[in-house]
Amino acid sequence: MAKEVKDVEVRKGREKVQVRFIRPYCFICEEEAGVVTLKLEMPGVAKDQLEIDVDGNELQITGKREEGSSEGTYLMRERPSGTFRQVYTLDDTIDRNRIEANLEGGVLTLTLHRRESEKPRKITIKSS
Amino acid sequence: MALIRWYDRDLEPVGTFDWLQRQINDLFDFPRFPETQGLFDRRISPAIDVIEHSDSFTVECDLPGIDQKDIDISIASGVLTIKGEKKTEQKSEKRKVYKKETWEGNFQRTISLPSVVDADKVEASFNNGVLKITLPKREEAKTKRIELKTK
Repeated sequence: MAKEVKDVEVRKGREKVQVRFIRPYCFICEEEAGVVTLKLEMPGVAKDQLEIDVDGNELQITGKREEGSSEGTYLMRERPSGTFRQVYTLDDTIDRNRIEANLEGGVLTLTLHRRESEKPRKITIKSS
Repeated sequence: MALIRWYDRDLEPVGTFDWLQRQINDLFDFPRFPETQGLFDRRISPAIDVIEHSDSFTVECDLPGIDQKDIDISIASGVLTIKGEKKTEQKSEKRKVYKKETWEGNFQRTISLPSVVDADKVEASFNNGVLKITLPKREEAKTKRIELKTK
């Protein structure tokens, strides 16, 4: 797990602030031709703490997880703390306007559709 | 309390070399999945946190994508066991998988509890893929403040 945690410098006004990002585990598949399913495991992220942005060719997913209780002493600490973040580059075949998102039980499911013009199709030969 | 992971750090020379070799091996080891060491056939152990408060213990466990009814929590003779199964559905056989980092199957996590835990008052909640178990301490074990009387 520790390999998936990354400290990134982010500009906040004039200052540079170190923010800790966790890369969520992913599962990407194409269930049927033209529909790509992207699943990201983000346990502890509530719906209002999740941001999904499409910026040009970039799909940015950021999810804040609830902060652990500050009081008390940790006897064991294996879960990474920080903010989940992953950036994907979308290629031209993906329709930017048809992206559906669903968050359930700590798993974010994004459904991406390929553009109609990019789908494989058969060309029939007209007989004259 | 056997809550902390056990590391062999004896001062005897043979043990030290073993430990050094394990550390070096760990450097080249990139774990994709949660640790799969342990007893039982349920080999996946999800990550947990154990936090001690003045009147209780809290155990938090990451279980994303798992149905609440597939989680089984039990306490028997001072041992807390979290086990269950993570199921995934496959809609069509023509499915093309591009990348898979997630795990599925049976999982189990076992921790021995200190004797001060009151096993009858344990509560558990499951929210956004995080399991939270609250284990209150017995009345006589709670930290008490003793006030000084001034004469």
